[in-house]
Amino acid sequence: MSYQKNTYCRIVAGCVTAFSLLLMNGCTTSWRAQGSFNRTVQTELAVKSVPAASVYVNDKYAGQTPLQVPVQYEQEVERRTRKVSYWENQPGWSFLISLLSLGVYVPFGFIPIVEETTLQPKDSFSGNTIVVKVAADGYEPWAKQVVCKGENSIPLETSLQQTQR
Amino acid sequence: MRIKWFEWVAGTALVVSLVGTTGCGAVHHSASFEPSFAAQPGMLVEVASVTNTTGKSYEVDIISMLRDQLTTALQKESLLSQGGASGQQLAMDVKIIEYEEGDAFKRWLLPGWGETVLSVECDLKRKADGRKVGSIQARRTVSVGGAYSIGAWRTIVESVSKDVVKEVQTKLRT
Repeated sequence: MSYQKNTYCRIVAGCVTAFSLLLMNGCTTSWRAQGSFNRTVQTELAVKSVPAASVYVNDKYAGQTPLQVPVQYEQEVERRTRKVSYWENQPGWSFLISLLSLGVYVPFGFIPIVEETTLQPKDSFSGNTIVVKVAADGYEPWAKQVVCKGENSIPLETSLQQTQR
Repeated sequence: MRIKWFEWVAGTALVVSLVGTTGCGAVHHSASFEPSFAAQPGMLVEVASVTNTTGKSYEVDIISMLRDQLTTALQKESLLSQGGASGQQLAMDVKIIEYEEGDAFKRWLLPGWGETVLSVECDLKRKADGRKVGSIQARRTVSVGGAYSIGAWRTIVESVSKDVVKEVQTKLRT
C-alpha cells in the first residue's frame, strides 16, 4: 500500500515538474526589433613614420609621430525585445511570491508579461572613414584613408620619400 | 509533523521582511575603463549631455530628471565639476536606452506586469582632448509592489543615477 502511494506521488511530482518546464519554455514571445541607437566607439590610430613628421587626422593637426591618436565614430546598436514570464525573468521573486500566496500565484507567473531587452551591435558604422596624413618638410606627404570597424587599435607606419628637386 | 500556526506566521514574516529589504526588482550596473586610463586625485565629472535614444516620448521630462539626479548624486559624492580648468575633468555623455514609466496598480495585480524600467549608457570623456576613457551601463527595474511602489517612475531615476555615480566613484576615488 505504502509502495503504491510512493509510486503515485513520484508520478504526480514528475508530471508537475515536466508541465512546469514545458510552460516555462513556452511562455516567451519571439524577439522583435524596437529601433536602434548609436553608440560611440573609439579606435586608437598608432602612427609611426621615418623620419618624424606631423600627423593630420581629417585635416586637423594631431601631433608629431610616433603618435597614438583616438578617433571616435558611431556604431548602430539594434534594440530587440520579447515578452517572457516572470518565472523566467525573476525566478527568485516568483518563488517567494508563490510561497506567500500559498501557490495561487503559480499559474499566473507563467504569463509572458515582462519585457526583456537585448542590445545587438550591428556591423553598421557612421563617421568611421578617417583620412590620416603624414607630412614633413622636404618629404612627399603620405595619406591614407582608414575605415574603422570597432578595432581597439590600428597601426599605421610609413617611410616618407624625399622630395625630388 | 504539523507546523504550528505561529511558526507559519514567523516564517511568512521573515520572507516578507526579506522581500521588503531586498528591493523589488532587478539591479545591474557595470563599468569598463580604458586600460591606459589612470584616475588622478581631484578628478571631477560634468554631465555634458543627456539624450533620449528610445525613440519614444514620455509625459515626464526624463532628460531633465536624469540630468538633475546625476548632478545631485555627483555633488553628494564631491565629484561634480563646477567648470574651470579642463585638465582634471571628465565629461559624461548619457544615453537613455530604455525607459518605461510602469504602473503600480498593474504591479499590484500581477508582479512583472506594469514594470518600471530605466536603462542608461554613459560615456566618460576627458574634457581636455575628448578621449573616451570609459563607459558605464546601469539598469534597474521595479516589477513588484502595490501602493508603496507608486512614484517608481521618479525614484528609479534617482536610483540609477546613484548606481552610475557609484561606478564613477569606485574608479576615481579608490
